[in-house]
Amino acid sequence: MSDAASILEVKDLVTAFDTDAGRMTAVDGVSFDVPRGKTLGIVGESGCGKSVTAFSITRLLPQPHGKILGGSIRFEGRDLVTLPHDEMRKLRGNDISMIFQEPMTALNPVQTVGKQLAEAILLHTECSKTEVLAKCVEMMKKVRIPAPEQRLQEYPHQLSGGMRQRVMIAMALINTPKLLIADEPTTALDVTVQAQILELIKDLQSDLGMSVILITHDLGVIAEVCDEVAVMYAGRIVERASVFELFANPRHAYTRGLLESIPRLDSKPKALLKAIAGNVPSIADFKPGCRFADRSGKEHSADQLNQRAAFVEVSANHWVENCPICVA
Amino acid sequence: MSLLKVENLKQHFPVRGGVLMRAVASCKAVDGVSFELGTGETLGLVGESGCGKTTLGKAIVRLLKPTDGNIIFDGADITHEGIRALRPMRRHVQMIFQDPAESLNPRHTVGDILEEPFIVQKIGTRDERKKWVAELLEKVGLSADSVDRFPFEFSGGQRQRIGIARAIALKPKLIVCDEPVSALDVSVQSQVLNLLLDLQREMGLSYLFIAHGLSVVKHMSDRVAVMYLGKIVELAPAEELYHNPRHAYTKALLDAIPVPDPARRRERRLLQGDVPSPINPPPGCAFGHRMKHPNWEQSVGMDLTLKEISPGHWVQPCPCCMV
Repeated sequence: MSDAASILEVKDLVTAFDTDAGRMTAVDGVSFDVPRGKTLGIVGESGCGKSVTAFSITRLLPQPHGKILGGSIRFEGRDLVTLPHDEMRKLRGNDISMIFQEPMTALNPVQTVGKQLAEAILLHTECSKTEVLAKCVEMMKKVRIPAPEQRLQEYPHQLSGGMRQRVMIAMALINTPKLLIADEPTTALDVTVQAQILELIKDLQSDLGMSVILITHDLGVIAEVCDEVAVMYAGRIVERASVFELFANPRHAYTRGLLESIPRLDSKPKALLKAIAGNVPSIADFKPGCRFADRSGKEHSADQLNQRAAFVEVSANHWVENCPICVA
Repeated sequence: MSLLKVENLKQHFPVRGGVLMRAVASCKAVDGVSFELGTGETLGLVGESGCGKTTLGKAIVRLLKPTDGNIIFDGADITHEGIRALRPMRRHVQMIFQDPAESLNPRHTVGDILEEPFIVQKIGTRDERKKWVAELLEKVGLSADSVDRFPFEFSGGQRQRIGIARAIALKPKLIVCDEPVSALDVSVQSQVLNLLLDLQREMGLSYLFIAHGLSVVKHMSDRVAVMYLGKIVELAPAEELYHNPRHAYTKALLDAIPVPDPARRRERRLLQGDVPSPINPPPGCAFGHRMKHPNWEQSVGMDLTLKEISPGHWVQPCPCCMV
């Protein structure tokens, strides 16, 4: 069922890591589509598997411990899970590219910005030196870096945090990818710089017509830029809907809890917040059934704890992991 | 009388360079800050990274030697006191740090960590201290068997609870909270914020609440001070500041917060550029300089101490940024 409306279809993805303590399933049967030209937000807390999902799509899982055990990732009709390595290399950085959270660790500190940008071009196309330079300058202008010719000669440490993230974006977009995966692109930045970077990604998306997967833990960021949202908890997607539907009508207890627990500008000052009890479960304690059970504050039957509820469409394009206790 | 009074506080650091490592410039991390904090009150402190908010917090608990100005705590001037003279005051002023993983000694058990404040201050017998530690654990919502466990055995939220327990151990009057929840998961943040609110009510604590998340600060504070490049540019009651910001920088910060409601997406006026370096800051109003405001030049050489424009609402009176 190749759906032309979606650029990426992930179905029942299972990704695990082999550790000394046994096999840890970080992503446990996750399915979602990325509509062409739209932004899908994946929101969740640390350890919920959102970054591992991204690394599975780009096949950048740490080797040899990380493995995709099942499911399919179809990108424009091709299954990325079974794609040979050299084919995948042609795709990565060209049709699919990625922005990482911490630009200082993702950039090479001993190479100039220009050299790193040029490398991204030369890996995928044959160009003359002057063409490469022209392309680099044009891209630096697109991400609104002042004095681009001069900046190309500089090293990452000479740039501010926001500027480095712009360079990362320039590098990711220089081959006009069809799909951009942004993994917490603004978490390390200040609010004012965050607003600039989010605006930039939005603008470039409509210019270039690409699709975006934005991974974040910040519901505010999701509300500002995404079209569709998937909420991840403990290795699974518990709820998926359009952004308006999800914020107006959250169905899963975890989504509701998250939305209620964030302080808002219009909330009553110094009033107690509604908190979700307990802690984020560790991967070694993931249960087969409802994983939110012990934090939901409601009794679950043995069946509900041991058997995973189906992922069902409760209303048009609104999907939820249908645990009868947690879904209201 | 206010519990804490800070007058024209300056904290400059020498920037060393050259062959002889002489001071070639100074980094004006905190450059003339004044405010007061009452008993049981929370003052929020917001600003971008590098604006000097953490340095200000550290100077107030006297982990630093201030360059100039006065810190008056509970009627006593503690600006230039030495280590020994400060010890009685340390009982009453405590700090909660941003990253609980790095501010707890990994080789000490939770019991050791919580007992240490009493030992340093020479309070109580061994049995009494054990009893107090158990009470502290209960107060912050940790189980009694945590005593013999090590920090790494706890999750981020629980570790921050240990940090809070340590800070309240000596029943202080003032706690400086430096980004206490920004390292925590979203679903755990609200638990820790609630704990801080509960403890404040119960123990009559005053908080200096430092954070870059404006919605968190607004939720926790009675009054909020906005810092930019080592100076407070606006200080007002929390509601007033959010509904009626009078400094252009406060407005820009408020505009930049992502609102968790897709129905309220708006066109935002974005702040351009990055925070300038506090080494050799521009003269006059630093924010007007960043904005290249046409009136900026008028602010050079002007007296930019805060002016009270309505009861309790203080703004830096520069011709470029005050609106």
